[in-house]
Amino acid sequence: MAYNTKSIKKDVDGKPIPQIFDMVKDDYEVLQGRNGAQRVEIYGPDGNPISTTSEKLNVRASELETLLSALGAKDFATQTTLAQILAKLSADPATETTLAGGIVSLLSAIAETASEATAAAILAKLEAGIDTTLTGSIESLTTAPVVGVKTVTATAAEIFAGSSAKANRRKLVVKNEDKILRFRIGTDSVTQQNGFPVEPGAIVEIQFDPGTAVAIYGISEGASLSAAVMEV
Amino acid sequence: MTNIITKNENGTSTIQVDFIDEGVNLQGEINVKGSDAQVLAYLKVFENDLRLNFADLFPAPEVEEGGVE
Repeated sequence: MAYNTKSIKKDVDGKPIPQIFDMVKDDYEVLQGRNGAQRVEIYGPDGNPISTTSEKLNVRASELETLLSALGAKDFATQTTLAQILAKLSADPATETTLAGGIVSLLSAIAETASEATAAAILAKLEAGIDTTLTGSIESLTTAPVVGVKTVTATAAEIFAGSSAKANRRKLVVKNEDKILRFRIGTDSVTQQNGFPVEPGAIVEIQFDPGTAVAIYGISEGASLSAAVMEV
Repeated sequence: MTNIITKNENGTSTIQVDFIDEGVNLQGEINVKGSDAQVLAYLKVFENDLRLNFADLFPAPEVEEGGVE
């Protein structure tokens, strides 16, 4: 029945008291409380009272319990173990060699995980023979050669073909174009007596490491003469 | 042609030449071992070698007009 069909509660003086209408009991009921606050019942967004478990509100209690259970199952390191790790890291850090070895092992492990198809392709390539191309041979031209004529005098001077010694040269070819005189080659201390002799018409080839600049000096044993020079 | 001669600690001298004053973009450098006089003498040799080896960079000499009288 509706609330307006029932009489409200009154005190000893016949005056209305704080009360609520309980639809289940179909009657007014004294509004109770404690510590200066009235009793309340919490409702959820679905319009139903929030349930309780063991007199505790079920506010995501189940999810929290699941997470706590998972944490409880973890094998956390103890304080003693953590202290041991810290001591190890502080007193005996891994050396660079150890780290390099670890990286190599890791790369090996990665390589071992190559797919069957990749491994088969590698095997087929190995069985067929690997084609290789050598690079950096002094017999192969990588830049245009420089040619020129150098006048070799009785003063020791550098021998080269262009306006200065070719950068990263790999070979120096010198031909004595004089028909009578010879000249000598060597370091900057070459003289008319101690250098390596280049006879008239003779050709000398000197190979170089392109990464190391080495000067070759020449000096005539007599009058000035011409030498044909090529730098590769 | 302009030149710079630098004496090095190892007893050699470095000759640097530049033909830009002649309108030719050519620079050369060579190390020479000898006295100052020998180095100066070699400067002329070096210059002649460069003019010969890089003749294509230098303007051809003008040919005087007129025949043989």
